[in-house]
Amino acid sequence: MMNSTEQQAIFDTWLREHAAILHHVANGFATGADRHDLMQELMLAVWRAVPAFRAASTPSTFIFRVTHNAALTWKRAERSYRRRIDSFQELQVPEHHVEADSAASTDALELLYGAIRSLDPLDRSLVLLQLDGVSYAQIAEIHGLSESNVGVRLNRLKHKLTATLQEKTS
Amino acid sequence: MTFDDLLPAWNSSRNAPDPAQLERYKAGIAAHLGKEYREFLWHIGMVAAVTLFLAGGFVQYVRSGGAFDFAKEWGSLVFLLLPIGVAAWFVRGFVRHRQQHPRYDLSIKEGLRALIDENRLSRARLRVSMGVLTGAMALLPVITYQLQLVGKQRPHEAASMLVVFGAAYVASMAWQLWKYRRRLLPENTRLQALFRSYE
Repeated sequence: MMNSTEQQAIFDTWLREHAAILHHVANGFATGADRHDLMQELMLAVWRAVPAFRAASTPSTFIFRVTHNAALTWKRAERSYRRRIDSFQELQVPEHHVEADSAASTDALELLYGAIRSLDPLDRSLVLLQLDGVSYAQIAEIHGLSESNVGVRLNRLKHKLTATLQEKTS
Repeated sequence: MTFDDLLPAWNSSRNAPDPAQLERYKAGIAAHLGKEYREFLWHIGMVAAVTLFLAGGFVQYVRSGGAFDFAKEWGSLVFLLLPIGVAAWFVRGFVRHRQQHPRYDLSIKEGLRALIDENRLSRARLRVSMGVLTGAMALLPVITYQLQLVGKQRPHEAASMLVVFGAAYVASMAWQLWKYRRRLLPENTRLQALFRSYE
C-alpha cells in the first residue's frame, strides 16, 4: 500500500518529466477555457493512477494511457463547470509577450491543434500519440488495437490532416 | 502546408506547458483533493451517526422488553429487510463486475469495455432501487395499519409517517429518474459510440 508522501513524490517526478504529454492532450481535446477543466481532469487522473503503476510498462507509456483514457471519456461537468472555470481563470498567469519569431510557431501550432480537434476522439488520440513520438507498437498496446490497424489508421489520418491543413491555409 | 511541415512547431518550446501555470494547477489539484477528503469524512461521519442512532434505538427497544409479534407486524420486518436485500444485490453486482474485468487497465479499449459494463450496472441498480422504493411505499399503508392494530402507533403519527416517507419517495424517485435519463443514458450512448470506433 502506497502512502501519500510516496504518491506525491512520484506524481511530482512524473509531472516534471512528462507534463508536455498532459499539455498536448489538453490542447488536442479541448479549446478555450475547457482546456483548464480538462487539464485538471488529466492531472487528477494521473494522481489517482499512481498507486496502480506497475513497473511492467514505462512511466511514459502508463501516463499516455491514463491521460488519453481520461481525455476520451472526459465530459464537461456542466453543474460545476462555471465555478471551476472561474477558479482556474484566477489561477492563470498573465499572457507572455509573444516574440515575432515564435508567433509564427504559435500560429502553426494553433492550426495543427485545430485540425486535430476536428477529428473523431479516437483519431485525435492516435495522431497526438504519433506526434509525441510513440511507436506503433506502443500505440497498439495503449489502445488495445493491432499494430497493423494503428498503421493503417495513422496513414489515413495523415492524409486527412494534410487535406484539412491545406484547405485552411489555401 | 502538410502535416510534416508542422512537426517543427510541434517540437518547439512553444508547445510545452508554462512551469508557473503548472504550479498553479498543482495548487488547484491539492485544494480539490483536500475538499474531496473533507467530503469523504463528512459522509463517513453521517453514515456512522445514522447507524449508531438506529442501533441505539434497537438496543433500547430490546432492553425495554419490546415485544414483536411476527404474525401481526411482519410488514415492518419486510420494510427493514428490503434495503439489506438491495445492498446485498448491489455488492454481488459489484463483485461480478470486478471479476468480469480483472484487467480493465490493460488498454483503453479494455477500460472502455469495463466502463460500458459499469454504466449498465448503474442503470440496473437504479431500476431495482426505484422498483424496491415503489414496493416499500405500497407496503407503507399495511405497516401503519399493523402498527395501529397492535397499539404501537397513533393515527396522527401514521399521518406524519406517510407524509415524510411520501415526500422522501417523490424526491428520491425524481433524482433517480433524472440521473437515469440525463446522465447514464447519454453516457452509455457516448461510450458505445467511442467503443464502436475501435471496431
